[in-house]
Amino acid sequence: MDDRIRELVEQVPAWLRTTGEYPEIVLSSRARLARNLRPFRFALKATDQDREEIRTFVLDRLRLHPRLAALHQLELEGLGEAERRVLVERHLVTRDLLKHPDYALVLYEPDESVALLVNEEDHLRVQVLANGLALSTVARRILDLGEILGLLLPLAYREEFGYLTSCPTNTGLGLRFSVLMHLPGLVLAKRLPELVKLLARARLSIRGLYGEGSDIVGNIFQISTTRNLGITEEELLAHFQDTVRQIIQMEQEARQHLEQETPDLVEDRIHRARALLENARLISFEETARLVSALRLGVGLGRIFDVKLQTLNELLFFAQPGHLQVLFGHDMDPQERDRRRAAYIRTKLQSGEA
Amino acid sequence: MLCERCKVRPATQKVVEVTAGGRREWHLCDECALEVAYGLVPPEPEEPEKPETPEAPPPGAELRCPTCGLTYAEFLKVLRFGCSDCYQAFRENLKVVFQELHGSAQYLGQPYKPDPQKARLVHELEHLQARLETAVLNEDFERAAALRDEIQKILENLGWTIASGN
Repeated sequence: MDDRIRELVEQVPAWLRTTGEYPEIVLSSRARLARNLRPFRFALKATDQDREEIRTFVLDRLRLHPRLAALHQLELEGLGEAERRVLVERHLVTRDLLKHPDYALVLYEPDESVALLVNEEDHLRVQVLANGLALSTVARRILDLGEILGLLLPLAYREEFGYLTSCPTNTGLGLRFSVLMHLPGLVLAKRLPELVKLLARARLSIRGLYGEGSDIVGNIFQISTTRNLGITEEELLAHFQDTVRQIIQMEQEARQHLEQETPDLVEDRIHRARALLENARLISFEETARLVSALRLGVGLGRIFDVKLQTLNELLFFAQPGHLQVLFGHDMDPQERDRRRAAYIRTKLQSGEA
Repeated sequence: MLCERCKVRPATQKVVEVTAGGRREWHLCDECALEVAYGLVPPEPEEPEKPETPEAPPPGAELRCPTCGLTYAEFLKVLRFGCSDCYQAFRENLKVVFQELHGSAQYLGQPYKPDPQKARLVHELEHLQARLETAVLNEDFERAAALRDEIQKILENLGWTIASGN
């Protein structure tokens, strides 16, 4: 077991805390930069030798900046499958990076608020994560990091198109803001089509947290910006903030409406979810996410007082397959996973931590 | 690859459709996948697929990047560039692509122009760092201490000391 991975699974990442703005609706805010080095071919055409040189070159240059030099460092090649999965589940690494782990590297702040991926789809991906609604904060931090990288490294850039990236969707600013939102109100009120239309007009993208099939689990959605040309950094941020606030308001209205129109139904759903989580002996991740969503709604509506939002965030997080396997120290078949997961949830909800 | 439904955005999700006729996989973009998952739309393409007659190659299909060898036709298929020179090689055709993806083909962000004074400091920093390593190797600790002081001063000028929060 890699020590760094063990360290990770034993801590709660800073962005999962519930001390931010609108924690009952916005789980986290994220900003991401895509950058490439002028002299090297992109991932599609890069050879192993290119990838090795990129890694050496980047590490060599980052050492000049004390804060970047102090980042924790993990190489993907030596890790087992469950360990790699942990990194994906913690949003430190993208699934993409797992497909080509050769010479891939993740550098991160110990509290996981900043991560730098080397040799992903782009030579460099930088992300800043914060809990709750904190888009201005993540924007400021990512732009600072962008300036530092621009000083340390020769970046691929053209005046007319901006930063040159592997995928044309990122060309230009190479910048993406996103939020992870819990939207059970809009889902229950069947207002999702309305949301999808609103987002399409604002050129934002939405994706669900997918389980094994195509169903969205836990009513958790990632909403992101997509434009990188024809817009300034400030405009992109301001538009996104406006739309996210609008969605928060829609969700709040939907929750209020549900409570007024179908109070018994809502109450029943919340308490059934709690009973199942507290008593199940076998539980899949999909079911966990669905039930945690209902309980989260209960906490948000003030119907549940003795369970903390933070506990629910942690449940959702540590009940993921990779985390469970690393926490319990071995690979498991699905049934053992479901049993361990159920036991973990029961303990967590019964202990004082709840 | 492009989303099989809207044929505009890149495919990022695999959606499995199970019907009486069997199982079929669709490669969709986030938006289409979400709408399909919620049963808002069927996974079938928005327009019926054109019959597989030998399709006319897209304009510029034969363009080839001199640096990495990627052709424009390959680029359209995988929607990935091979290197930064592809942007020059496909320049004329890209404007339409960007217009479609971003609603514009014009970069309006902050220009990438590292502050020359800061760039000079970084250069100096690199130089001092190399000298520091040599001094440490030679166990010339007096010299190493002096170099560390110089490095610290430059870091302060750049605002890169750990305490300054960058």
